[in-house]
Amino acid sequence: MTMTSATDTDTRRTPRRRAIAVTAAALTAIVAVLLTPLPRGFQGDVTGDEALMEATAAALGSGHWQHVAVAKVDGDTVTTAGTGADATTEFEIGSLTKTFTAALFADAIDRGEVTEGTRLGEIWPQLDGKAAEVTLSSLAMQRSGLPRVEPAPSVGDAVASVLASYLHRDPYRGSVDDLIRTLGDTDVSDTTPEYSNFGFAVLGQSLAKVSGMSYRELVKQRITQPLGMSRTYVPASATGLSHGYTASGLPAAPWTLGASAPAGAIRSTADDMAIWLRATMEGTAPGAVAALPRADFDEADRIGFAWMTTTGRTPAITWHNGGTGGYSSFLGFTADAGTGIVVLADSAISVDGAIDLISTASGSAAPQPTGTAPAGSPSAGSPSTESAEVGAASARSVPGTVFPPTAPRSARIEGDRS
Amino acid sequence: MSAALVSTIVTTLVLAYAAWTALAAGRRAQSRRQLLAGLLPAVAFVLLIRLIGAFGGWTDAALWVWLAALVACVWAAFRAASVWPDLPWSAADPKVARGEVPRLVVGAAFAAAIAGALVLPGLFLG
Repeated sequence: MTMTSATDTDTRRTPRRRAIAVTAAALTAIVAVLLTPLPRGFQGDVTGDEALMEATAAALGSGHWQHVAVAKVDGDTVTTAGTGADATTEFEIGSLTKTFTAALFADAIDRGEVTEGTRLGEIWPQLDGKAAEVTLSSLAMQRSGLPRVEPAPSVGDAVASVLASYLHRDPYRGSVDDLIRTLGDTDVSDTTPEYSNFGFAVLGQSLAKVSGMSYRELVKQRITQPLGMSRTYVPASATGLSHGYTASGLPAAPWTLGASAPAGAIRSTADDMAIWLRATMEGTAPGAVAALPRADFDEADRIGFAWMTTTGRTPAITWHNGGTGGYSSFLGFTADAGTGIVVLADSAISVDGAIDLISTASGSAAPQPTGTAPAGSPSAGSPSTESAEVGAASARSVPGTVFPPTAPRSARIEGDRS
Repeated sequence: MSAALVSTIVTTLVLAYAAWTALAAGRRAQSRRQLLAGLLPAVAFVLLIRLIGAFGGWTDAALWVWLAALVACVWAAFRAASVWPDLPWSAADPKVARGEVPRLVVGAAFAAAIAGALVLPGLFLG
C-alpha cells in the first residue's frame, strides 16, 4: 500500500472537493463567530431616563454586556435608568458590601461595643500570636497584614475552590468557625496597605460576634431596616436571584460566600443603593463616618473604613467597586459637588468607567479606580471572575472583587471578585 | 510582573499552540485518525480559553491572538476537508497506527471535557 501524505493530495483537488472544503471552512467560521463573545450594547429595553442610560453606556465602553441599572444622585434629585433591568431589579453588589460592613464598624464604635483599637484576640479568645493582635481598624483600612483571600484550609479545599471558579460557581464556602480557625493558622504579614477580602470577612464576623447577632441580622437591624432599604439583604442561600454572566457571557452562579459574606454577599437594587448613597453622602446613614478618608492607601488613593478617596480627579471622588462571578458594581460620590452614582450590572465586566459620570480625570496620569479587572480579555487563569472576586476598589487594581483564583480586581470582592 | 500580564502571556501562548496544532494537523497527517487527533487538541485549547478567558472590555492584545487562532482553525478545517478523501483511516506503518487510537481518544476526551465545562454548568442554572 502506498502511503499518501496530505501535501501530495493538494494538487488533486476537484471542484467538488473544493466546494466541500469551502463549506467546512464556512461552517467552522460560523461556529467561531458564535463562540466569540463579541462586543455589544446592553441587552433589552431601556428603562427610566434615556439620557442617563446613554451616558452610562458611553462611559462603560465596549464589552459583551448583558443588563444594567444605574442611579445618579444630584443633590436632592435621584435619576434612575437601566437596560434590560430597572431600579427595582436585584443584583449582587459584590464588594460594595464592604461599605456596609465598614458602616457597621463605625456604628459599633458609636455604640461603645468596640473601639478602633479592639484586637481580634479580645473577640476570639481562641486566637493567639500575630492574628490575635490584629486590630479592627486595621482590617477596616485594609492594612491588617492578612492575605487577599482566605487561605484554603486543605489541598482539597483549594482544588474545590479553583474548580468552582473555573466552572463559574461560588468558590467561597465554610462556616464562621472555619474562618476563625483558618485565621489562627494564617501568617500575618506586615501592615502595608493591601486589599483583603479575608480581612473584611473577619471584620464583619467579629462585629456580628460582639453584637450577638448573625451578620445577616446585623445588616438588617442596623442599616437596611432603619433606612427603609427593603430590597437589600444578605442572602441565606443562592436561590431567589437569577444567575449573572461572566465577562465572556457564560452563566455564572449566584454567590452567597459563606462566612465571607461581609466581604461581598449583599444583594440590592439601584433604588436601594441610591438610598444608601444619599444617606452616606449626607452623613445620615448609620456609621456614615466610615467614608471619611483616614490614611493613605497608595500613591493615588486615600482610604477610610473600606471607602477609597481618589484625589487626582476633579472633583475628588469617594468610591468603592465590586464584583462577583457574574456581577459588577460601582458606587461613588463627590463630597464637594454633592453628586453620586451607582451602577449595577449582571456581568463580570468592570463598570468602574462609571466614575466618569460624576468626575473628570485631572490629567493623563489621573488614576482610575483600580481593582480587579475581572473581565476584559481572554486571560487564562482569570475566570473573571472570577473566581472568588468579591473585590472592590481596584482589586483589580486595589479594592476589588471577590474573585478568588482569578486576577484580583481592585476594590472588588473577587474570588477573587468581592 | 502583573497578574494581568501573566494572564495575557499564558493566553497568547495557549492560543498560539492551538493555532499551530491546527495548521500542522492537515500538513502532517498520514491518516484520517492522525488528522482528527491533530485537530482535537486545537479545538480543546480554543474552548479552554473560551471557558476561562475574560473577554472583558475588548481592549486586550490577546483578543487579536484569539481572532488569529480562529482564522487558523478555519484554514485548518478547509485543509482537512481537502485532504480527507485521499487519506486512509489508519497509517500504513503498524507502529504509527498503534499510537493513533490512544491519541484520538485522549484528544476527544479532553475536548469533550472542556466543552462539557462550557455548557453543562449553565444548563443547571436555568
